[in-house]
Amino acid sequence: MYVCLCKGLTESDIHRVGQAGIVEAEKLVEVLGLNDDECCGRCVRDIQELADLATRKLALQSSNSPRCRY
Amino acid sequence: MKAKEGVIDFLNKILTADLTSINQYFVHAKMCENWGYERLHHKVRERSFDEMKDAEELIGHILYLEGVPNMQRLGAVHVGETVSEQLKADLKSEQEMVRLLTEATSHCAKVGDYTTRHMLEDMVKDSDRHIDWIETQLETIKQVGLENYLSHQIKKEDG
Ligand code: FES
Repeated sequence: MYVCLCKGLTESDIHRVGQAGIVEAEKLVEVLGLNDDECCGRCVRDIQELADLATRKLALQSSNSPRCRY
Repeated sequence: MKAKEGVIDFLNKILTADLTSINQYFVHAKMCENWGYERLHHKVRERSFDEMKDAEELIGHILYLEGVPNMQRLGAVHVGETVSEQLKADLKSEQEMVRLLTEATSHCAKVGDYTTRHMLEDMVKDSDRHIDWIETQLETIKQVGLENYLSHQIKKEDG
């Protein structure tokens, strides 16, 4: 699934960022550029969901994994 | 005609869900076209247009009830990266739509707005039909496998 349409980010993009050790909300906003003019603000508002997704890499590899709600 | 209490709010909520669905279906349709899945492209595009017709009806009805159609608000558009993800995302949106429409329908019955209720009931029927179609696709995928299913979505050359 796409998790951020403003930046064209998919779940796997978030996993990759998470694997690189970026999992805190603030860091994610900064690294992914979620607070610039192109962004609608939805992802900053619901940043905890992206942070969860970034840390949930291993859980998501199993087939019945929970999905991001985007 | 003045609206009964709470009806405009419900209609605007449904309008938001509708405007969101138009976009979701439309982008899914275009992605299918880009992948060469002509059959799906047409089907999903048609659904996007259906939602637009619903939006047209809702806007007209809100104005008739002397309300202001809220064209500003848009919900989260759930875009799948694959056909399966798209179908599941669309199924979820339709189920959410049915839930909202049903809630609105009983509200209309409660306040005695039978015209609006009737209109919304028709929309529920439409959503139910589309849910049925999506569920059939998901079931077919389960039975024949994704590859087989997708190969039947590809456009056949003429002649
Ligand atoms: S969808 Fe991510 S900022 Fe708009």
